[in-house]
Amino acid sequence: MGRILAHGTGPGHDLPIPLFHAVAGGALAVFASFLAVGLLWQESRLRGAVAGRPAAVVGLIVDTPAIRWALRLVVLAGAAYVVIAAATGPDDPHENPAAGYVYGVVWVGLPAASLLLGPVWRVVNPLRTVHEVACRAVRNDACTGWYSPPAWLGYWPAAAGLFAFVWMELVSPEPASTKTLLWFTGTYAHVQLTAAAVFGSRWFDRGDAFEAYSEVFGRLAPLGRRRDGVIVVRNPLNSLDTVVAAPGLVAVVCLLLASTAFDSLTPTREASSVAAGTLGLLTAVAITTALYLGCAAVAGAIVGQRDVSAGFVHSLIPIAAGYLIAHYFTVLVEETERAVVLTFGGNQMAAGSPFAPELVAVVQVLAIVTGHVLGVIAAHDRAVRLFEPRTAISGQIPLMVLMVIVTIIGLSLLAVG
Amino acid sequence: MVHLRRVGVAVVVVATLSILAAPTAAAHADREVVLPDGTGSVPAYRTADEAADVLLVCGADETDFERRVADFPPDLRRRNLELFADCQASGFATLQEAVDAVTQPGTNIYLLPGEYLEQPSRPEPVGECAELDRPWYDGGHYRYQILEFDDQIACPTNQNLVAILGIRDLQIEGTGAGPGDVVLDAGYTKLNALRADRADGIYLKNFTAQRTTFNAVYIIETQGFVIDQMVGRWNDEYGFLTFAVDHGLYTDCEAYGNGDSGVYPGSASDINKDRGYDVDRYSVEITGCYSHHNLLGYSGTAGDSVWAHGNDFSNNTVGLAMDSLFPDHPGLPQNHSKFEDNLIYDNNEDYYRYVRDGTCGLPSADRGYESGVVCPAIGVPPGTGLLTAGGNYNVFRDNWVYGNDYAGFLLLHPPAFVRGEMGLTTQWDTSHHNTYIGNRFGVTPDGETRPNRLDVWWDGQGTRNCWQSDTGDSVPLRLPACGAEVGEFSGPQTSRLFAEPATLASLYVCSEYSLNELSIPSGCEWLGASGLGRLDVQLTLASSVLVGIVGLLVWWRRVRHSRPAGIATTVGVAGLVLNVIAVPQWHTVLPAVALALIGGWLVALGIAVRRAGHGAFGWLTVAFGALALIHAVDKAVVLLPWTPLSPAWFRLLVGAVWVVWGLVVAAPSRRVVPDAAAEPAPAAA
Repeated sequence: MGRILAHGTGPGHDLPIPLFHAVAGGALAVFASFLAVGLLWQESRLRGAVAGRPAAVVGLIVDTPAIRWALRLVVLAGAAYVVIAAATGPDDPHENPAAGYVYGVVWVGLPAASLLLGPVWRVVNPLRTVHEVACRAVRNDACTGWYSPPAWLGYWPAAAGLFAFVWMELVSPEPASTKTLLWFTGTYAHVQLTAAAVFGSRWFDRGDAFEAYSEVFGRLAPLGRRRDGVIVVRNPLNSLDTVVAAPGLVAVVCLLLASTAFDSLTPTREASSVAAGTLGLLTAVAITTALYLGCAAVAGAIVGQRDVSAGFVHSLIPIAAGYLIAHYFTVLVEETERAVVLTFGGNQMAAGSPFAPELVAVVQVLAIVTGHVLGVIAAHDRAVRLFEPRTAISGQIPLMVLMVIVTIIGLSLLAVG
Repeated sequence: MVHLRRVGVAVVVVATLSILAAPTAAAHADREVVLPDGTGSVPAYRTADEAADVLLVCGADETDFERRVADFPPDLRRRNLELFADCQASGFATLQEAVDAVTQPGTNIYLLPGEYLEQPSRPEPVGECAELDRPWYDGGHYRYQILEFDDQIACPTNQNLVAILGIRDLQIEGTGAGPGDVVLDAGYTKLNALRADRADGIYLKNFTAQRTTFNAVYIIETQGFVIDQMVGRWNDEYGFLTFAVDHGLYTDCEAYGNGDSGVYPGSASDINKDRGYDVDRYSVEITGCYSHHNLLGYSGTAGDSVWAHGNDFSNNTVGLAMDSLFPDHPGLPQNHSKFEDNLIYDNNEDYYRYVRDGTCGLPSADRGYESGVVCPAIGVPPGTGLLTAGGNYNVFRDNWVYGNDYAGFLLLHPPAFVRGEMGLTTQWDTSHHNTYIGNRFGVTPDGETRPNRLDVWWDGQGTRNCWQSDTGDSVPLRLPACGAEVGEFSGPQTSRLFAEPATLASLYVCSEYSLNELSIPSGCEWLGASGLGRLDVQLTLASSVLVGIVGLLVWWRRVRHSRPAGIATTVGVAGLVLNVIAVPQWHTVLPAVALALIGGWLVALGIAVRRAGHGAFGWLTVAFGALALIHAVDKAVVLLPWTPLSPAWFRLLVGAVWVVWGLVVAAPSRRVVPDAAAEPAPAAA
């Protein structure tokens, strides 16, 4: 199905500098930022949920119930349109906008919007809207559910949901066919609404894959809600500092990291069977998770603490965001444009990317390197807060080595992507 | 297995930083061939009387013919006029018609003075010949099919202006006063002007072949051939290409204006592969040839057992090159060739200017080859006399090597994966046992002094490569020395797996040249980078800055009250600066001096730090410094034997640990725990 799945666009050979310079420069930038913060950033500076300046206008807009409901209804209508298009339209992604909305607008646009505005899916999640409307309709306390979600469950349901989506996108035989999309959305909505009926609307906080997806990338937004409830503008690193460790969060972040790497390595679906693809995706997730947990274990050994993995998972988020931008930003623009054109009855767009290959390549490299540098800074700030002064720097070394290696691999993958 | 290949590529990119040669550019692509069994012999020249049959080829315009022969010596003129008369009666208008009329071995075809455009061969193929089901080779600005021998028989002019297929002992001779009087011109309509395929015993004499998109003359899978007084000029790739051949002789040929090489004895029969220094015979002999104003005067991917002597390779970008870089060449890695008594001089033509200015982006016919344009097919270092990019047991002796602005001899190692062989044991199977003795550097046969900038550039890899002891400026400064004769050595020999890291990275970057994309990699010294633009300077600068920052911090925070440590640090900083400045001076002792200063500083710093209570880090610093001192010895005194890697690699590994550890030692350790930030935050938005 052509371009929707042809991501990993903008191969490295379009770089205006030799690949070697990009890779070596990227690795050096990560290492140099480690040195710099190690020397110059001696105490924790991030204030997380207490940081930020009030953004009164934004707060007014966001906290006005009418506006919130309007947004919810617009998104609900959009979701309904996609389902109807998938159910009744032609099974051809070049004529049916459903796949463009799912893979372009939702899968790529949602994290992009979250990176700018915060965890927006929590506000507009159509399943949450359906659930709430249903509770209000029966006029009982159904919104609170029968049970509380057990704490150990954490983000694990979201991780499972994300894996299912990524599997559909990268491994399933016909990811863009309306049948596949309907099967996925139908099953997913059914499972989510059932769980919400049992556990109440709190279920969506950590059980909904797309809320978790939006939540993760929303923790890099310059907008956020301070602890006192005020909407503020703040350093994205402070937003990142508000990430709360919970069961399954490492799995969610590692899955997002692994899926882009896996996608770079498997550009053509024909290359492997579904079984091999599934195994490959699982292996990529397992390796990514094992690398992170392994480094965290070594770091823990250095600083004499048992498990530090939960404290540093937030530092992987900017890295995942960097790869996401590098991997998908051309897809976002092109697929969104395609879906909108198809929705409003236009003809197919002119062929070709609106971006010069050099620009694409430069954005990709900058996104990846910036993601790693932000990761190093976030990890450092957390380390000087959590670790003894004697081991604050040495405790970061395993993670820094991991980030340098991942930078090199990530940038090299651009060359073959 | 696209996916495995990609993983492989990624691993290669990540892990190796290796080496030369644009892997996208095959040296040349053709069907799978078999090397001859070696039973033939070099054919002897035949007079018309000795021929089994004689065929004549000429034009029809008598006035034109008489004008062409007017200035010939009387006897030659008379003979040509007689031949012309005979030819008008019973000859052929095109060479291909004559070739098609050959009925028996031992036939002589005489080409009378004139320009042969071979019009019947020129049109694009039609019918079945236009729809052959064979793979395409994509050369970027041109593409062609990889045809089997049977395809050539069925469609001889698909790719060739003249095709000689399966005919034995054919002799084709121009009857002019020189090769310029008879011209076979493809006009850039065909890959080859003349293809001799399985044409054992072919003898080509005294004519010119020109203006093709591949080769002027292409002899393939043939046992016994002679190229005698021939000219091959103005081709996208080669003047003369002989491939999978044995018992060959190039003599008194001339080649110029070729985008790859003038003469290319590629995959010459690999008859000596199991031998050491002793060699029975050579498969191809090249003598008396003049190859000039090409990218390469000579090239030999798998140019095995070639004996080139008494030739003139001058005014090319590189005089001669042999390599083990390209896949699908039988007989890799290259081995056992001998180059002696050749003139190898003034190979300084930088044809990359025609890539930079876009000339080479034009169609071949519009580039202006006839007025001196050459479009480099591969990335090579201009100013080089003789380049070996992977070869074993080659002998380079008694040549005159002068006036080359980069290096007289250049030897480097490409691992086998570059040519597509992934076996671990084959990766280091090349660039061993090459001997350079008795050459006269920097002086002409007339005694004039014409120095090369460097006499030798070597990447340092390989076993038992040796150079004559009177070699002048070289990189590295100290070379393993040969004895008086081939197979004899003087002093310690080295056996290393890799070039130094910065060299390896530079070679990798240089390999990103692409004619198809008209891209010249930045950072490659060979292709024009200088000063801070050179990758090796950049890498040295980056590493010096890192070591400097960490070293200074360690000194300042831990031992700044130690006077000896302060003095040593001052010296060390001077060494770091000199280390960067000295990169382009690798043929002098400056880099070694810089390393000695750095090494001395680090040893002193390590001792001081150890006394200040950081015992383990102190010892590491001493070790790091000691490695720099050892590296200095390796650079300036003697290339250290016994080690499979240059001390530079050990410095890199220890340095990576030292820099990080140094940061830990030097980092300040105050901290403030903000109360608020550690608490969980409610969800935003």
